[in-house]
Amino acid sequence: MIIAILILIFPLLILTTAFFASRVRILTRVSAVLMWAQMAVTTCVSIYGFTRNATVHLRIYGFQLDKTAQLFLVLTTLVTASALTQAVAFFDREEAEQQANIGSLRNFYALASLFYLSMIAVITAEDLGYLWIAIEATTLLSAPLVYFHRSRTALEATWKYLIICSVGIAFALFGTALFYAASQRVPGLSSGSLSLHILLLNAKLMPTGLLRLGFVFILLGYGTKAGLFPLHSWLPDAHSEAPAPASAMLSGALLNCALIGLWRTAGIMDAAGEASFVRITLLPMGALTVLAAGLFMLKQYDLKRMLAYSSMENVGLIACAIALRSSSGFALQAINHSLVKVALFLLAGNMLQEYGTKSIREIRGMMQVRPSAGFLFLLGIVAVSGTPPFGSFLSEWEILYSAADQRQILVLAAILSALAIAFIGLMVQTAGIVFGEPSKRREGHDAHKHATLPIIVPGLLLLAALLLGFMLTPQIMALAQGVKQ
Amino acid sequence: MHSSLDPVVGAIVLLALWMVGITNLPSKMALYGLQTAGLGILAVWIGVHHHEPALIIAGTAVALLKGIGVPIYLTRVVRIIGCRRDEGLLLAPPLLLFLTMAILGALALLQPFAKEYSADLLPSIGLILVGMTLMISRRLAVSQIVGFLVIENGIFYYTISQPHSMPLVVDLGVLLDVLVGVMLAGALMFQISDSFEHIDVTELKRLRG
Repeated sequence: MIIAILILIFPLLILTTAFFASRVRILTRVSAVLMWAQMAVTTCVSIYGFTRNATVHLRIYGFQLDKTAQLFLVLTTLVTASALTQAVAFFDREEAEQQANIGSLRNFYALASLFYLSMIAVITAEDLGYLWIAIEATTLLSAPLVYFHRSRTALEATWKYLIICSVGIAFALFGTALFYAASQRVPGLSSGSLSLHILLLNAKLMPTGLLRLGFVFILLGYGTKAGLFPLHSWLPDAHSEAPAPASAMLSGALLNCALIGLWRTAGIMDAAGEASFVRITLLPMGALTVLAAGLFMLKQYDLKRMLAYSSMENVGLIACAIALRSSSGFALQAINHSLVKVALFLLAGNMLQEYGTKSIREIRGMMQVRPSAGFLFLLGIVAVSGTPPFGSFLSEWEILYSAADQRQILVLAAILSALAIAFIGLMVQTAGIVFGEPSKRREGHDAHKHATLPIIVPGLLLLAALLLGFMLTPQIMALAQGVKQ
Repeated sequence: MHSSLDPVVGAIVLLALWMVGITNLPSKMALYGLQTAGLGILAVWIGVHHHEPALIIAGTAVALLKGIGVPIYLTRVVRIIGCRRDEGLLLAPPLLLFLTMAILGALALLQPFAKEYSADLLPSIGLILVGMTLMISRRLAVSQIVGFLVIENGIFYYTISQPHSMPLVVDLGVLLDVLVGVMLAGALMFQISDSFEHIDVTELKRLRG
């Protein structure tokens, strides 16, 4: 109970600050500091669980911190803290350019803290019903964040996000109901249960027909939320229309939540001896997602949409890892993607403010306009496409290895060619952005040329991604392989 | 599930089916309200017979909040925005009604998966199909919300037709999520009608590729 209160206290303080703060500068700074305090708390809790090699019980019915939750609790908090830190400079400038005011920012921070809490609920949920409620809550709480800029395109993106994800998730509710119905047919468990450990214990006794039907619906539901092809249409819209800190949270933290929903359900199917059913449904979908995202990236005109499709590519890879039941592939790929993509979205936010446009054709010559940010952006793109020595190379290797190990040659070929396409697409676009000739009207506007504040957070995140490529120590592997359920 | 309840279930599916055929928005909301209130009362009845207090509470909450509250809210939103009718997209609604009836009839007669899945899945599948038809066959944003709500009713029917209903906390949590979602969608509809001067979602196509 004490641990649960400890985890809740700082986000609730941010919520309180959002209600009472009267100046933008105070609100943004206090929230960032509070979020790093939250980071310290969650890290301590997770280290406590990791060293004792056990689940931390929160003593709230239906929620617990198992090893998966310990890892993703820290990752989600890191993403949120990074986003809120970068938000300090981002929103100061938005305020100066009258894109934001204290009213809209109070809304933003109140919703962001609740959104963070709903993601924590997804991660710690030990009951499929609570998991569903929490995932739907993340949609409802993050939709207003997408609509922050109140433009027509933001409105369109918000509407599509809300409707497509809600309907998608409704299918997941049907799937959850089918799992519940299956659990009622277990002898001696007539009242049924949605608790993960009870479902896992009795998985073998549940009727496979209902389980398979339920899994298909859950796959459709959480697959929509994760942005699996062909259910992804809302993803690039929402991720590109949201303000940079919100994009970073959507991409770096929220996608992981939907994938955790799939991971936990796939675990039950695995325990029921239906791993092959998961493989034939989820694996082609994951591979197709990687392929489609790569093709979309080739002809992209919008910087943030390009990054959103790159997130989709990574979601496809993680979905393959889930289908192959590769816990280290799943965990490492999720960590690497979150670290790098958050850095990229935050850098993209600065570039948008610098150039005043999202069009790739007009964002040119970062190396001349903002050398350090341009260099980091290039590094981030290299990292996100899975190039050594970054950690994402090792995690993608892990996924490809398990695909080869399970004789999924077709999928292996599809993923490899898709990765190559995505690499080419990203590199061609990035070359112009970083090394191109800046347009004329940018000249003489270099007050921010050597500003260091906006590149500290992305720089540190990329450094962490780089270190993961060099120091895949036994401890980190144990951490990743502990993500069993 | 008691077989004497079959006419009630049939009436609920028929009410949903009727929604496919009409274009008048207030009467569509009224049909939705009737259907949902019927489902809520059915849940209460089952709860009384199976001695499940959880189901009685959930059924009452559904009948009151979703069956009465939601239609009143949506009708008000539509009246303030100022649209009364929602014409069909591609197919005229009466024609679509026959098509949907044919599909549901085929489903009920052939029961393609009856061996593997019990027949109590049929009404839920019917409601979900009707909800999806409603979502994709109309122009206005409000019809997408109503379609979503009918899909949700189909799922609720499945949970109450099982020997045991969902835990009360889950039922109420789902209800809360749906209510907040409807409120949010209503607020967004005001924004759409303010900045686009219509709520025709087929015209929302600025974001592509």
